Amino acid sequence: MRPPSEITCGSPGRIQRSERPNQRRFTVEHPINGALLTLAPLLVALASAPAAVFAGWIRTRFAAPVGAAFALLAAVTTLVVYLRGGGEVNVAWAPTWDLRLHFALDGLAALYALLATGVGFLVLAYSSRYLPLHLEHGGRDPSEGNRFYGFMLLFMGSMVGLAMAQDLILIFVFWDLTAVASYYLIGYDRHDANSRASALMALLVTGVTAVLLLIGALMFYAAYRTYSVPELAGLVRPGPLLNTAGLLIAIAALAKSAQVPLHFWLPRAMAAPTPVSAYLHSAAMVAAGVLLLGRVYPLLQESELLLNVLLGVGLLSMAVGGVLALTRDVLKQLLAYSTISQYGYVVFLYGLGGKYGAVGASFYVIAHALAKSALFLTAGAVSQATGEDRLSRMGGLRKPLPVLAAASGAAAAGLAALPLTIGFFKDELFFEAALQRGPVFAGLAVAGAALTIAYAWRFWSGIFLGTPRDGAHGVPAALVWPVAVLGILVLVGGVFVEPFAVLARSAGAAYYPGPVESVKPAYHLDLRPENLMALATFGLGALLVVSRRAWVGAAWGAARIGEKVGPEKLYEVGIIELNRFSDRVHSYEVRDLRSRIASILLPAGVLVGLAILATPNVDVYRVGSVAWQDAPLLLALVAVAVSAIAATFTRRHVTLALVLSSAGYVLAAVYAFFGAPDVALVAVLIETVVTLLFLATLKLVPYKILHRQARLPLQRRGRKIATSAIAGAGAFAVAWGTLSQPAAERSVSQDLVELTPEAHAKDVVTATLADFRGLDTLGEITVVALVLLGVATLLRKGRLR
Amino acid sequence: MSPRTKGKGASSFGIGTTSVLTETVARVLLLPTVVAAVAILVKGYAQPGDGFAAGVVASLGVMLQHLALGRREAERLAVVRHAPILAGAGLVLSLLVATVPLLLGDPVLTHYPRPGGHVIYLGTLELITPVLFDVGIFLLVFGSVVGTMNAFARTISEEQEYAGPGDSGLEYEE
Amino acid sequence: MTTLLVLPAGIAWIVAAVLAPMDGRKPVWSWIAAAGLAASFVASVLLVFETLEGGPVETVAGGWPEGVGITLRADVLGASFAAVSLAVLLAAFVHEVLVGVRSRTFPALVLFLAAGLSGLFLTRDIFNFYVFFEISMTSAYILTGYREKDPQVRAAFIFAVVNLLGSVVFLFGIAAIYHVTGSLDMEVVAERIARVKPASILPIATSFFVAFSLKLGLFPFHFWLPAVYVGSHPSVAAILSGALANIGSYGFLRFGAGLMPKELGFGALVLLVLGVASIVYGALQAISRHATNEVMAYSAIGQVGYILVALAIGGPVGYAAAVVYAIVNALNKALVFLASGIRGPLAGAAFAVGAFSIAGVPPAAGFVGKVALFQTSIDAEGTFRSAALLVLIFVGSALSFLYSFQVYQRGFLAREGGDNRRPSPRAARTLTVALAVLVLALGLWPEPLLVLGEESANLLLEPPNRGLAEGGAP
Repeated sequence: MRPPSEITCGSPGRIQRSERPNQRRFTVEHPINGALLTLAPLLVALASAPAAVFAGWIRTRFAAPVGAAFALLAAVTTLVVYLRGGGEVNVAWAPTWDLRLHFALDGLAALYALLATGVGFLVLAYSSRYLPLHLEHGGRDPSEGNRFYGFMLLFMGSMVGLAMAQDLILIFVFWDLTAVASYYLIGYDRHDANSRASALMALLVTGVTAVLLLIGALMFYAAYRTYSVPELAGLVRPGPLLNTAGLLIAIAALAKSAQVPLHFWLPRAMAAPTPVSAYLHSAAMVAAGVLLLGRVYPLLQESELLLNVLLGVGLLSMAVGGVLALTRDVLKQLLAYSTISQYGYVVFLYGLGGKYGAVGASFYVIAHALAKSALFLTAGAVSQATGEDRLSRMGGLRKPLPVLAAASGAAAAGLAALPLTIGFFKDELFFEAALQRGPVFAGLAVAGAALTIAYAWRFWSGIFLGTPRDGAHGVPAALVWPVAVLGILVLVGGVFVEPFAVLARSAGAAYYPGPVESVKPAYHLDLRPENLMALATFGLGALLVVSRRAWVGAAWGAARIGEKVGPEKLYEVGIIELNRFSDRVHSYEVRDLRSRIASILLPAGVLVGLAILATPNVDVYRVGSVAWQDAPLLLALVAVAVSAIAATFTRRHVTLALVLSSAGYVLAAVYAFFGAPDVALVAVLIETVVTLLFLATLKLVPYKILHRQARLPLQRRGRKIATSAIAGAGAFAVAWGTLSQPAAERSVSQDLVELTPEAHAKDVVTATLADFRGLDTLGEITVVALVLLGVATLLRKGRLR
Repeated sequence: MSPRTKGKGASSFGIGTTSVLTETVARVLLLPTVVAAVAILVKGYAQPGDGFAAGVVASLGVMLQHLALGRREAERLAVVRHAPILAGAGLVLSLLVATVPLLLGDPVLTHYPRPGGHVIYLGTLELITPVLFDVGIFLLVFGSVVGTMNAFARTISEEQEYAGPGDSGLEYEE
Repeated sequence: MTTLLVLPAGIAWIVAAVLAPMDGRKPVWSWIAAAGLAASFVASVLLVFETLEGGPVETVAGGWPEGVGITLRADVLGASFAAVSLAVLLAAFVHEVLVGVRSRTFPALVLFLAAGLSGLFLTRDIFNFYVFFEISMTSAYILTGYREKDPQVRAAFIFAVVNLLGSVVFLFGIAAIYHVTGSLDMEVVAERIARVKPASILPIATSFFVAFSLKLGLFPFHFWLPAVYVGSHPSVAAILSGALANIGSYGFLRFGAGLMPKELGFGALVLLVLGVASIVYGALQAISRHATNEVMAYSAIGQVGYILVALAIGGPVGYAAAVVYAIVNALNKALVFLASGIRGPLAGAAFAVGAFSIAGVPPAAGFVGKVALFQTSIDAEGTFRSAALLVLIFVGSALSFLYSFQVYQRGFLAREGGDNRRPSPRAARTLTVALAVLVLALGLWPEPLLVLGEESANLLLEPPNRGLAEGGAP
């Protein structure tokens, strides 16, 4: 229909994208193969959900292994394609709007795609044992697992899509897909009201803020005519547009990453089965927020304001999440607040900027994902072992679950950034980035990191140390080995950091304008500031652990205040009040027929009034003259008016019918007077039939009802008169305005008269009805036939005889 | 209802009973009404009147039967009993007149003979397709109005037979 | 090609006339009706392609000169609306056939409605538009009473009384237009109106506006709508909101943007205010309603507000957005009303797609409509107006999330698994799911929708370049 509109590339941006030496574009000789290869991770990931559902449809127990296999395959594909140099696919999607299917597997995409698929694989493996237990516990059919795997894998697929998407609208699509998947996963226990409420909250917070992402994207498009992030990166300049649109996008990202003050949905999302939480917190959903921040970082970093917003929000989230994590008793709640705090670091790192900030943010996400998913899976496993979900009811589980204790110990150490874990390096980069901004930031960084140590210790020691409790039993191996794998990865990363660093650097290079090759996390056995800061952190963290009694009251108090006046309360009150307000508005809705009609007449009259006020040309209204020969006409019109007025005073239905039909007969006389005998004839006949049928209708209504209605007292007379007056004035104004216009210079009726002989007719009305405008006649008689059908349907159940 | 039940039966629409005079007049008037209707239809192309008016006039004749003689008497006439079929036939006939020209490659609702063509006259009646179209309209209007009347009459008589007045019907106003 | 032009209305019309006396509850007649409807639909789709490639198709009934006879015309705008309306009618009708038709006249009435709708979308004559409008409305009045229980008859009564008033207002406007321009042909009317002072036309334009607002159920002309949608049977509600309401959107576009663009410009502010009021009011009302169809009825009031806003902003972006939104909205509403009428597996999934679409969540097609709306708002003149619109539409969209999913959770999610009522026939569920898939597909590949929107906008923005040469200035 139209040639696909070619996108015009903007001027080469300030961001040098050639800095990725390992990224080789596929040659154009095999564009299809190249495109397929680049898209392979996405295609595999997207195919996984239908594959698992299909497998589950054949045999319920097939769903999990097939899903896990697809996740693993997607992870391997991602890795292979990434190591071969990634690639880019950019084809038209909806040319009319310049929408493009623009995917690229750059460093950033590879990092998040690997997390989504890799962690996804482990979580699915874990679920294969966990979910049957969960369903059994709830007394549900095992086949409901299909739904779980379907949405889990849809979640994974949309994360991979989001990671690879380079076009803002495409990003929005995958962004909302993750929201849809998470909605169903959080509300997986859909018989449970709490679970549904949590799902709705997550959807509302992330879905509604996603609209801001869309608005931001459209604002950029309106200014630069492209949705492509790489192109926009070369075009945007600091200014109000960037600040506004960038802020909208940032809000969407921050809400998804559960940053204060839009963090409250995340702890509530713990209503989901544990594997979902593990996934949501480490590699999907929450990670999507910081992924988006990374993707649009080339735009955001142009604006000082936006970076400061990130700094502030990150800091606030670090503090709020950290303090609240120290007060929670439910295991998953503790971890949820820890996630808020940890992503606060990432956002803070973005805000700090610089190469350490850029690479640090990505590295932080990797380290956190490994540690946090392990800890969540631990929480699920120990809950299965004890039947409890609170820290205060656990303890001493190192005896029955030694492997789990060791693996999750490694993960907790990683979270706490102890040496010999990958976590140490995340803090090293964090401190470096903070140091570059100044001592205040360095101090804040140390304080934040100390909080992490305190709650990591609290979590692990609370579960595994202390006096053993009764009733704990072992757990299936499938609930342990994924944790072990993650724990080992945390430790491996503590020794061989380079593979992870390479990934983080190439991710950073994807959005940071400067060189990042010099960012190399490593152990340095000297007294450099980062090391001193780490030592200070350890000290402070230990102090927090031992002095818990001293500050825990204050922390509880802060938590209590948050519950009373925090954003979650605001949300809940907001929903309740909206429903209440809606009820109140509804009580004003018009419900009876008279008012329904008045509610049309009144605004119609008012609108006509407004129309006249909008164009105050007095000269369009003209008063004509009356001649003597018009007298019969005037008399007839007076008669019509009199019967119309009489109708308003009539209370008896039969009288009303007769009065109205008398008006009709007089009008018929007017037609006859005007020399339209055809019209007059039809008018008289119709009037007769209608009056008779109307009287017959009255016979269908029991006399008592008619009688009672006729006796009903007139109510709200003033209002009725006012409504009628306004509507009447409106109609009068339209008629007057129209008739003041001289009739059209040439009317089609003249043509009709001239052409009547052509139609072999002598009577122009008949010729018009049967010939010139026969189609109208055909339509009108169809209406007559429909009336018969209607009468038959309503009175005779559709029987025509 | 009233003691003067001289006539043969109750009128339709439950309007009570009628006198012998009314009944006789009604019977006598039926034929002239139909003739008048046909005249209006046929002469439509020369003088005021057309299928629509003709249909209404004819149905008024039936209305008179209903009012004067009652439903059962009125329905003794086959055209009254099968009025809805007439209506359907009328609609189909008009639609055919409208669509057959499409098969001949002309625009929809083209009438024959075309302007300037030769027209055969049978007295006042012109043999042209608009007249056919008008006959369709006549049938439809007659059938619809009479069918509607029948439906009313039957419903009212059924209600009077089975229920007695005053306990059915819907009240719409609140 | 001119034969193709009369096929959508013609096929439905003839099949309707033939089926009218038959007992439509018998499957054979129902399926013949469905076949007729499907043929009409196919013809309308072919017309869309034809008009996209070769421009408008026209023919004058009776072979008379333009202006004397009634000119039938299919352009992209009309053909698209016809195709969408027929698609909704077909889906709703087949759905009802699969569930089991309960009334003798139902198939004939749906076909008459199809004939009326395709006729009015495919005519260039104002009075002819009115005639088809009356056919559609009369069939719809009777259809609303379908199943003849008290709520339905009550709904039909309210619907008929209020909308007959609207028809009178509309007819009044037509008479006035005829007096001023001396013609009923849209092209001629548009050309002659352009030469008359807006002061004379604006009150007439207002009467058209009232008539179409009433049809769409725009605030404050909406008071009939909830009672009617709630009272009628689900598949009829789908027809009313997904097919019949298109008259309103089309009327706004054709009569406002097409015939009286100057007057539309004058009224832009009022239109914006009413549109936004409708969006917020409908969404607010919907939040605390309990029954699914009542929520969706109020949602319908809110959704048409978006169409009005797009129309008020106008220009290529605004008109295109109005078309896109109207089409998407028709499909959404048909989907949710049909889904609310079925029970059993996948009923919830189908409704969820509709709910996501209404909330504008991709990949459901509603997201395309939302993008179009936001584009239009950004495009609006003046930073303040633009920002205010963005905020208000954002609020409306946020509220639509709330009401769609509150009712989805209450009516579907919470009941899944625990619903012991007899499920609807599998075929009926499959059909609804197919409609849901269509909504998803249009979201995943919105290009056809966008092309229709853009081409329609171009058409409306074209100056009236044809008309009666003999009707020149005196």
